[in-house]
Amino acid sequence: MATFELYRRSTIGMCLTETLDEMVSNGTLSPELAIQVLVQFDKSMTEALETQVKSKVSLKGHLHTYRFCDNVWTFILQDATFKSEECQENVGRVKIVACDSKLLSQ
Amino acid sequence: MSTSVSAVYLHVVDAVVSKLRDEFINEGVDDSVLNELQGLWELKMMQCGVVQGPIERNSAPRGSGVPTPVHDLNVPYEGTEEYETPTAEMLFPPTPLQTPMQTPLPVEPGAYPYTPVGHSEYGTVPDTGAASADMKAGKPAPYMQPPSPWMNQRPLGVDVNVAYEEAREDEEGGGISQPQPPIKDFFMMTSGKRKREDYQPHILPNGYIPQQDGSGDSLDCSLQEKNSSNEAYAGTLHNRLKLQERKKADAAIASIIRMRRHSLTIPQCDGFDDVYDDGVRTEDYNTPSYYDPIPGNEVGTPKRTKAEASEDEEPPLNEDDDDEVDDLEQGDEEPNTNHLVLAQFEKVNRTKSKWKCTLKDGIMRLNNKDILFTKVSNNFLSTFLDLTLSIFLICSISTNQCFLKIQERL
Repeated sequence: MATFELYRRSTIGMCLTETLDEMVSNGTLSPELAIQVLVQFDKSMTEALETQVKSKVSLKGHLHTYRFCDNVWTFILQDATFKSEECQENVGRVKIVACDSKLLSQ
Repeated sequence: MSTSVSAVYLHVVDAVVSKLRDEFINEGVDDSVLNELQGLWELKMMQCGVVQGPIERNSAPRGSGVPTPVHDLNVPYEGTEEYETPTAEMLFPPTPLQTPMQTPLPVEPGAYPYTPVGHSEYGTVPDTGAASADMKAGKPAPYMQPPSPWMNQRPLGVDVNVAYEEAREDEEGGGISQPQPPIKDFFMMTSGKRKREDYQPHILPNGYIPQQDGSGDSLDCSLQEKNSSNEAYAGTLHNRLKLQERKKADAAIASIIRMRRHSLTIPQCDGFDDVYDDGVRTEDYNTPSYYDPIPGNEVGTPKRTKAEASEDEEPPLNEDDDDEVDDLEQGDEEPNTNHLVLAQFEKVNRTKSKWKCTLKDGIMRLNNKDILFTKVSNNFLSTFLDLTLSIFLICSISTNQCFLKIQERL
């Protein structure tokens, strides 16, 4: 089953990658196992976001850049506002990376 | 309140660990490794402030609160997205005991730079010290006796030394005049002219057939030349034996050189091969013939260094090629405020200058806060780029109409 490696760039994904890097450097973990860990992380993260998260967010902003390559949209927004049920965030510049959700269901 | 970010992350950690437990057991990895992974992972997340400690495993939801930006992970990560496979050197750091091969020669008990590691065909089998060091380094180095029947007759490593000493005694026509181990002898290739009529070779009648058609085994041309010149003297069986032995050693040495060359990322062109990670190596700069470089490495280095020096003085040629607009992306943003949204898209539409995207299942990192969402919709993204594109297209039709259309749009 294909997985999105997208979430490895998140905070939790980066923490995991760093941990795995350290353990492989120490020789505690083999690289093959580390890759399996990452793949499992991709699956678990996707599943958790589908099942555990219920919040919805709306966003507005000025589109500075858009890119569509290899079925991945990359947007750069300026002066964006993210509104959710709990909070609202205003940022001067944000990058949005989005993979095609249909690829996972194939 | 729905499940907090911290709880979701911990849930993910638990899910990953539990699903990998069987995999780790199958691989023969101890459970403690998995626990260590989990512990380190959670510790890092606590340092980032996305998870509130102490972590309670009874899955009590906690408020996300205001995370303290202790550690910034949004700087470009130097590791690749695909997990970078560590090199063999990272996994198996070479031990200093790897190289030296102890032969009973009285002269140089220490460093032999071209000692074949793990090569079982080499005639001078070292003592068990070096062999065990090779085993320790993780490389299977069966230093067993070579199966060649003629080798069985010789005690390990002794005959060569005897022959070597005889060479020193004889010193015929460029015999080895320096006290060197047999490997260096092959490199120097001073002579094959040692005549050992009184040396009785131990040859089985049904075994060894010496090569008499010139050497094609050695990679070194000089060795080949000297071997071919030595063929004239290979009338005696003993000389043939020496040649065969030498060729095998040459092959072993060539394989080592290949290994070392592969391990070097940048070929060294300034003389001796400074390989320090393999252990001890004596660099004898007084004897240039000591080092026998592989042909192809013999490059005129002074010219290259001069060219590099001249390049450094000149400004880079691609200095002004970067588009200033692109700099905005990397630009003057502080690394801390590099906000990022990672999600999946369901639909991306554009109507004139308005973009609408439907995203789902995403993680947002905004203002040092992690926010998870299941859906982003009804968004409105405007762009000025669309206007520019329109003007360009209309101008291609006619100039008059272009101005009119622009006025309409504005």
